[in-house]
Amino acid sequence: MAQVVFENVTKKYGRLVAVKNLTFECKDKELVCLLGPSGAGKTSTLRMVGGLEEINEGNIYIDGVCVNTLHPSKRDVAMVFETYALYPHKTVFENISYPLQLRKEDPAVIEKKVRKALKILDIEDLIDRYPKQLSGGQKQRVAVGRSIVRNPKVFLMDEPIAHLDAKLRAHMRGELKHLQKELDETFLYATHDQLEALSMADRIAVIDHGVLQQFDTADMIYNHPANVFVAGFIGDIPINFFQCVLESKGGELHLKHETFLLKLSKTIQKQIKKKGAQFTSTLPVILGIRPEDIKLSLRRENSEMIDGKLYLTEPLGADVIIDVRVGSQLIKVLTDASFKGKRDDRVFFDVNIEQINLFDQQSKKSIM
Amino acid sequence: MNRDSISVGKVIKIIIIALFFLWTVVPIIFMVSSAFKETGDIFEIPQPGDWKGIFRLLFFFKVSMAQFYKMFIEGKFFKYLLNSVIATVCSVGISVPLGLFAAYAMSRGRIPGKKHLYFWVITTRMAPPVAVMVPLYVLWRTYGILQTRIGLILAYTTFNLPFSIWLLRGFMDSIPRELEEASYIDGGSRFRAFFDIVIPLIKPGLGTTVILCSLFSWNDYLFALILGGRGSETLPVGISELESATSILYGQIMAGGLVMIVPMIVLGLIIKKYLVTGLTMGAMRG
Repeated sequence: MAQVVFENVTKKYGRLVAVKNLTFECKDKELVCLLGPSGAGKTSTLRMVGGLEEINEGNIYIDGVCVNTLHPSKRDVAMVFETYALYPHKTVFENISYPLQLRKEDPAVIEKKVRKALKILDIEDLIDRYPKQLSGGQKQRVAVGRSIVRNPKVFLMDEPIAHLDAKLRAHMRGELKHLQKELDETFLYATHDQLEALSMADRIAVIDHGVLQQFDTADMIYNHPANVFVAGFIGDIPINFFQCVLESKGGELHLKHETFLLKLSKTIQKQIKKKGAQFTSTLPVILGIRPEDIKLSLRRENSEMIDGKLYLTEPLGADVIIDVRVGSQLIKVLTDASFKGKRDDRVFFDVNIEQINLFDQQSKKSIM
Repeated sequence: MNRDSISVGKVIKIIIIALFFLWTVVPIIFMVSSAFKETGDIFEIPQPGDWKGIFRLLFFFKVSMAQFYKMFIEGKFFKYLLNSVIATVCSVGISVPLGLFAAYAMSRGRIPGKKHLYFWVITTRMAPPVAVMVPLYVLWRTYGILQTRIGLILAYTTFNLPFSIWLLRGFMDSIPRELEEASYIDGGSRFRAFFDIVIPLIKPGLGTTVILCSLFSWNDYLFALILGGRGSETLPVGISELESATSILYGQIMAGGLVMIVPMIVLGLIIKKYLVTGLTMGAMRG
């Protein structure tokens, strides 16, 4: 039970800067996901909290105490490694009880605590097995068991379920989130899987090339990404980007694309003005629209609709992804399976204007 | 066709194994049986054509402890054996634990120029013992440890220590660092991680190192002869003295050979159970 504060934390490996000026705060009992592509610095960040990696600049505080120079064993954190790192010469019981044995707890208490952890993870029958006799999913559970058997201040999870198969991963996602709520402890969870982050985290820290891109709730990250990277990285079906120009005509703002003209709603216009984007009459912007915010039709229902050509359909069961050619680019639209369009059909679409995102082409940052 | 080729292959395999067996085991059988014979009986050979006689002479002879009596009661082989055991046990007892810590430092520590240091350590083992014998003799004489057990132990350690560092480091490098890191996170100090994680996982390596270092010291003749000399004669030196200009005491040489090999076989059997590789298998994912 503790909060973790990062204050201008920088980590360098030789000349390579793995983590740069990281500043954010993980509140007590919060599940914070560190999300980013591989090589973003997520693991380095976790390892610095755990004390396995030296901090080059800045400070990390756990529960208000600066832990920069503290040995890992003195930090009272638990970690689940990406590779699980189970002790191969110890049985499941010995693996899980090891942290308690190091603390010289009473054998009867150890037995009780290990049994409880095994019960929570539903692996009681594996108690006498060795790691090499376990499947990937079982190893993962034992690794989690070793972390929950004591009450550390912070749980560090480094891609703990990245190597499970898709079905088990989806299952463990739910289990881990449940576990976190049950234990009511602080979790720092690194993952490269945006779906994992969206579904589990209280707040998500999106990191790229060691730089924090955005730190916010899943809802904000998904609907109001801070920059083009976050917008592109989040979303199971990638967001559609359009190179546009934002024009101001008679106090009204329009978006001009090579094939269409979009009128912006009052709320969006207000948001842009509030953010105070600097431009006189025109500004090159990137328009981002999520595939589910585009409404597709085979008929032109109103004059505002934009037209395109159906390029490809990708059925997903209940839904279908339709690839549409608009001008010179391809976009993806998520619609339900009842949509009857065929290849090369002429299609029309509307954009849910309230859900759009606009980014400055130069700085790549959101202007709303 | 297929079956035939398999059986032909099997036959060839059996022949090769049989030849290898004859090549390696017959001399040992010969040595063991000669060790338990009276001197006169050793040179008895069967009549031409008497094939059974071979087995009679090798296996069903009159057992006698005369050779051992001559060596241990009349001769000084108790002292030689004691010298050998002390030199070997002490040298291995120093080389392996020290090597263990040094190997850990070499494997995990951040030492500037580690690569060169490591190479330098192993070069000391590359020179043949004969090459360093004269300088060592001078050194040993200067420090007055010629013809002492301590001198012999030191000499063996000079060669065993780099070897054990080199061997153990290889084993340690193969242990994933994350296992130790997991131990730190679980609340273990560096020492705890070393004793709880590293040592159990390199048991096969430890076993191998103990055996190889023991073999080096136990079988050594050169150091024992030149540096050990009269004061600390070991078994190989003692046995070689059974051969003189006037006579060769074959019976005692055979018995001495038996005394030489038995401890190493026993050691090998004891350590064998640790020589199971693949202990780290299954620690990590996959």
